[in-house]
Amino acid sequence: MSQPRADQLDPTVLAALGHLELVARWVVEGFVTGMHRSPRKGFSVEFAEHRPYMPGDDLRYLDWRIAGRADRWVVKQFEEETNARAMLVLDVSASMQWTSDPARLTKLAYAERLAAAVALLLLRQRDAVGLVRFDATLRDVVPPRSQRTQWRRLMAAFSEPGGGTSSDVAGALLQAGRLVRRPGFVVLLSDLLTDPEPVADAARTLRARGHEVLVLHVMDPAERDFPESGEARYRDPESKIEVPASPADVRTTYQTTVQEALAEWRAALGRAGARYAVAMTDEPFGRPLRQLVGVNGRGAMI
Amino acid sequence: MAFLAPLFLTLATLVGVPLLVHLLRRKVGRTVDFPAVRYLTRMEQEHSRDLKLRHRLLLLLRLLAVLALALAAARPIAKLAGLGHAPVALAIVLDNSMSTGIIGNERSVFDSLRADVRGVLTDLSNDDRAWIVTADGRVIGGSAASLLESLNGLAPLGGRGDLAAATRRAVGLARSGSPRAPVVAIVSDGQRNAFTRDSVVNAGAVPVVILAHGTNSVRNRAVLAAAAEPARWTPSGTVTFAISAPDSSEWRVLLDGRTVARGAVASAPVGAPVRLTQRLASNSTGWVRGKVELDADALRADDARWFAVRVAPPPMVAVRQEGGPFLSAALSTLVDEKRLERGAEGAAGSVTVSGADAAGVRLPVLLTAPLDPVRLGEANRTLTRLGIPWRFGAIARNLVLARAASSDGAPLDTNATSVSVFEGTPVRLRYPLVYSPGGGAATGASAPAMPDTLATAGGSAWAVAGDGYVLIGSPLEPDATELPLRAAFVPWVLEALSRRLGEDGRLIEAVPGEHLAGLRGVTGLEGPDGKIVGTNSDRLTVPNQAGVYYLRRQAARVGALVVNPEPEESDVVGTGQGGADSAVTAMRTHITGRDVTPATSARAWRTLVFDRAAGHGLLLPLVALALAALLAEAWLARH
Repeated sequence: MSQPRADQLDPTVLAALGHLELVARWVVEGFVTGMHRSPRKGFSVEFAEHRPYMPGDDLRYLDWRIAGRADRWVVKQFEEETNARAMLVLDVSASMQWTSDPARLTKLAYAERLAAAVALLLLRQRDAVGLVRFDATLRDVVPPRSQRTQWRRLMAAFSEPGGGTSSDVAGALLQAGRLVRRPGFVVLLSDLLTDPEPVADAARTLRARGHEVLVLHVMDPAERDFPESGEARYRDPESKIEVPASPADVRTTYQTTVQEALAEWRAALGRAGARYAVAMTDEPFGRPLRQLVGVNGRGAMI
Repeated sequence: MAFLAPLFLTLATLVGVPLLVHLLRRKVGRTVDFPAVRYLTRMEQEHSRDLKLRHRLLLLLRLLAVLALALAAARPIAKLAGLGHAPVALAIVLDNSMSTGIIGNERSVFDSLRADVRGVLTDLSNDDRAWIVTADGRVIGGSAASLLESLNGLAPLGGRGDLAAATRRAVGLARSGSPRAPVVAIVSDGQRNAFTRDSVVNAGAVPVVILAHGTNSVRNRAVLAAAAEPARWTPSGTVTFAISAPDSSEWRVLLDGRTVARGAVASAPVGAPVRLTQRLASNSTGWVRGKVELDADALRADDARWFAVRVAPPPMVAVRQEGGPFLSAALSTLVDEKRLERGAEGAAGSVTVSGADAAGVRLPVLLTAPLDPVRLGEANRTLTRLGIPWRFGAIARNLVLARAASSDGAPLDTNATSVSVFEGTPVRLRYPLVYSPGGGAATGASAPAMPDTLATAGGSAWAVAGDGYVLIGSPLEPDATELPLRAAFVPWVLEALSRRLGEDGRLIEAVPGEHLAGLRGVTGLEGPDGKIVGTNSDRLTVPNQAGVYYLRRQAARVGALVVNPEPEESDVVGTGQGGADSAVTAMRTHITGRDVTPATSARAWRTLVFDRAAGHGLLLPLVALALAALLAEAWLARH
């Protein structure tokens, strides 16, 4: 019986089982297992290693010679000969450190695990990966490298605190773009509680420089649904602005407003040539990961 | 608008809660971190008009729900045309007097009255209170269903009842149902004397709706009176009876169920009945039930009239000279007429008649006061020896008039022998009788009005009776009192010897439902069917069915209670359809009040009854409104 794939598990369950690095590894293992086809078929790929055959593997990659000689069923795995560069831009402002349910991951924790998984995936491809953590300013910058020690540096950077009172998403994007000298990937993970236009402009600028811009909008389900929590004053943890509301009275209107805002983000970033996806902190990492790396498509990382 | 439970109106203050919440929304103390406040702000900016409208609608619906629930809890009554009636406190006076048993159009008038009441009861709602009060004063309360069930068990009385008292009681009951609208609904056969002449009921503000439901073609024959003379037949006597009939009619006299005389009378109106006297003899001894009956007609209850007579040998009496010559002469006359027999003093059943100063007398005795005041001490010693709780007081020589006494304060029956013999009798010499149950003479203290006081003179007891004795406070001499000269003296002596001192016991004539008192020693009442009903006190309510009932003291019959309807109840003039209106008009003269309305038909009666409670209970509509408001609020909050 096959093991459950970590990228399809509930992120809360997964996070409870191990720390960030371990979760990232499990997610990547599960993700790679689920990719039944080579991401770079027909391009310059070279053999990397064998691994035992698992049901569902493409029989084209079965090593028939070994099967004939040793009666072992193994598939050949290949490594891509690329030198792509990716910059992960992670929003660590105060709003990202919020969860509606203590049992659930905060948006930042979710985004960190997702970013770590992306980084691990790219590092395994020998791609260069960097990290920018920002709120109102850049907090940490790890320039993109493909060395084996890069993973440790990234892990160290993830452990740094955040929590600024605002987030300059557009500025962080532009800064990250400048750190990737050759055309590469700029991956933004943020709750995007800011105006879309400056961010779209920044994405457009990056696109003009030849970068692929990927934006993952991280949301807590409560931010989308506004569930019943009684009549209260709702306070923005960054700006401290308070708005009184009764979810029971305005939920439907709120949900409409959120959908309108998401549509605006999608449209603005789409016009800027950036890829946009929404990730809820209660959904398994596999889906947003797949949307980020864009398996076997235009602008795909792997 | 009126409210059945106005205290619950205070719940209406709860409307302040949603209002306060709405007004103080921006001062809500609880603060929650929520990063997506920008979406809330944007929502308010973009949808402010919709949100305001929505908020106000929600507020309005919540206020409406709270207000409707508070109002519903207060059980309001509002006048809404065409939507039924407000809760009523309805007291229905159902005339079940004897005359309602008359048959017309193949059903009795009482059945028609009952159908009318049934119609009203079916129109009652759960919020109403209702009672049925019958002419005998019986009150039945409960739900409409239980009243309908009880209604089936009602039957016409054996007598007239008291419709005025029933109406008075109904008015009180209707008032007690406040805040429901009080209504008294009377349904009667419209007999012109349904109310006694001098009775007046003040209904005040309580509306009274009257329906007279009569019948046509009424021809009623009735036995209006029947009485046996003398009190004891030895074994013969006479029966005197009165008959009214619109046409010739046959009559029969029965003793213990056996026809002993029969005949026919020509027509005689109620106001001038034919009076007949028959001399009869009985084969039976002891108490005998007698009945005078006619052929059956539309009203069966007055086709027979009952009487009772005691058939026995004449009482025995022993006469002493101390009783005086007048008493001796009266007794000699009775002995000559074989109404009495002379017996030896001390023999079983023999009554001694003497002056109280005589020596060696024994119970039972009829004693008179001594003529010579010197003998007063001897007389009182005799009383002490016999255990009689009375003593002769100091002699009084002024002229006073004797007054017959009533044992229970009831009006005196001036035709009764015991009343006519004493009432107004001049007394010149008397020894006021002093009640002294302890034995010694309580001089100076006036005698209390004891139940066995037969007559008073000058405010003191003058003639008394008790177990085994009759005592008169004067010597029976013309110089002392004119009692022995009165016409009723001899019959009274006979009655005293046979009833009070003999074994005849009491003969009581009463009407159904009447309350009797002074029945000491009576332990039960034996009905015409032989069933014995126990009595717990010296008071008794006369059964509703006519007949002869025997008073029982354990196994012995100690008297008879003859129950017959009032003769007036046989006067059914006015029960016809045409006469009903005039009867209602007559009834209105007996009922005063702000709103006394006659109804021309049963349907109009029902309509009038509930018109007096115009309005409608709004409980259900208000609960429905509150529910609708809550549902709308839930829908609006969700969408």
